[in-house]
Parts: sequence; structure tokens; C-alpha cells
Amino acid sequence: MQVKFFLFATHYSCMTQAEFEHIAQELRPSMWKVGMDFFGSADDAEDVAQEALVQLWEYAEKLDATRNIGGLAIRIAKHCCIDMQRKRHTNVVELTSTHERAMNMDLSPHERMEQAEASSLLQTLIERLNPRERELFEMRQIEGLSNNEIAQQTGIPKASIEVMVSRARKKLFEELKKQMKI
Amino acid sequence: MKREETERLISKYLEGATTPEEEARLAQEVNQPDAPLEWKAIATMLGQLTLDEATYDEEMAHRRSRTRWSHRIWAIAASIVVVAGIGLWLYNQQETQTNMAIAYVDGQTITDEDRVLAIAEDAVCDIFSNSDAEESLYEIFNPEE
Repeated sequence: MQVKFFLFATHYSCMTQAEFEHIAQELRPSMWKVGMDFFGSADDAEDVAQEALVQLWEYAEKLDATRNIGGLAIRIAKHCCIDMQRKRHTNVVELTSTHERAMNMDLSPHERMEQAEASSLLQTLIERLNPRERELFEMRQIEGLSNNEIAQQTGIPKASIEVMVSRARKKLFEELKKQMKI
Repeated sequence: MKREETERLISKYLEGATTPEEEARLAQEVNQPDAPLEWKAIATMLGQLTLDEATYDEEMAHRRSRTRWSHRIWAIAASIVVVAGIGLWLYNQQETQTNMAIAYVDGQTITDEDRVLAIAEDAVCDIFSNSDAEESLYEIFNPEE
């Protein structure tokens, strides 16, 4: 399952491919290490780093060129490890049953389809948020930044960030429940 | 995590007040296949990156814990072997000390073997120095031919 990034680009200048390639060279070793730690195989680590860089670019090209994407790179690398393992459906890497459940290895095709539909629905709902709410929601959801970190990067007071993130989440939650008939 | 704790975290999440660490814990709870539908909606909102990062981190923590326990067991086994080895050595040392020399001189106990032998020799010399015992013993064992 490839994560689709729909970051709403605002007023800043986005990262160019050349800028990304420069950053990618620096980030690649840490992404490779994430894969190596998980799989214990250099080939698999290589696959993780490759796939993670592709996904990172999809996100980064919509970002401000000055944004630090190191943390996001690691998140994407971890996601790629789990996604690769999910696709393999093997026990090469020993997992506890809790993790197997978390990887949704025992989900039926119908349940997997429901999950994919819910994700697609969420993306549609995110696009309906106002620009600022959308930006802040995605900084939390995709980049995994804390309110403090967002405040430092955007200059918006932390209390305001909390209010706007809350508003966005509550809107999305209510709409999701309505559409999913919960 | 108890259900009430998860519900409390969900409320905090909707208030925009959760930290990334709390969202990782929440992700582990709401991403279970048997979770209530409302929790699944929260899982969808947390997003696949957060869900998978939480799974990855938990798996790596579990592996590190397994490795720590394995090292701990080996350390305990090694300690037992060392202690047993020292005990055996001490026991052997004690067994070889079968012959001891002890002398009591003027109320003092002397256990140094060389000193004890020297004192014994002096004592014997004293006994024979002012008496004709030596001469008598000689006559007994060497009668005049």
C-alpha cells in the first residue's frame, strides 16, 4: 500500500529535484539502516531505501525547500519495511501475534478493500478543509511533528495550532463516521 | 492498554493535544482488527505512516527486549560457573592442608612450620645439653665391646 501524499502547497517556493537529490544522498544511509535493522539483509535494506526515496520525493516536491525532512524520511522508511513485510505474508521475520494483527495479515480482501476506501475517503475530506487546517493536519499526520515543532517552523502560536488541529480532526471524524455509517 | 485509557487518548487526540508518542500508542490500540468502528475511523485519521511506524517501533523494542533477556541469562550462568570454580578451588586448598605444625611457647600459639621446627630442635638441644642423657643413650645403644 503506497501512501499518497496530497500536501497542499501554499505560498513558499517548493523543493526542486536538484535540491531533493542533494538531500536524498544525505538521508539514504539512515533509511538504509532502518531497513537493515528490520530485515537483517542488505538487499532488502536497499529495496527499502529505494522505495522510501521515491515516496519521499512525492511528498518533498510539494514542500518548502527549507523544510527539514529528515524525520519524515525515517517515518517513510519504517512504513516501507512494514509494507514490504505485509506484501510478503511470510514469517521470515519473527513477529509476535500482536504485530501480525497490526500488520493486518489476517484481514480478508473485503476488509482490506474497506480500509483502502476509508483512506481514499479521508483524502477527499482533507481537501475540503480550509488551507491552514489542512496544512496543520498534514504536518501532524504525515510528518509526525509535535505542536511545538510546528509552532517553531510556522511561527504560529502553539495554542492556536492546537485549536486548528482539533477543529480539523473533529470535522474529519464526524464526516468519516457519517460516511462509514458509524 | 485498557479501553478507558484508549477512549481518553482518542478524546485528547481530537482536542489536538496528543504528542507524537501518545499518537503512536494510540495507533497500536486502534489498529487491531477487532477494534470498534469508531476506533477504525481514528486509525484512518492517524494515517498509514503513523500506524506503520508504531508497528515498526514496537517490533524493534520487542526484539531488543528478547536480546537483553538472552544476555542476562548468559551473564547469570557465567556468574554461577565462576562462583562454583572459586568454591572448588578453595575446597581443594583446604584439603591439601592436612599436616599442620603448631607450637605453644610462653602462652603464644605459633603455626609457622619453620619456626615450630626450629623451636622443637632448640628444645631438644636444651634437654640434652645439661644432662648426661646423651651419654647414657649412647652407652645403651653402643655397649662396650
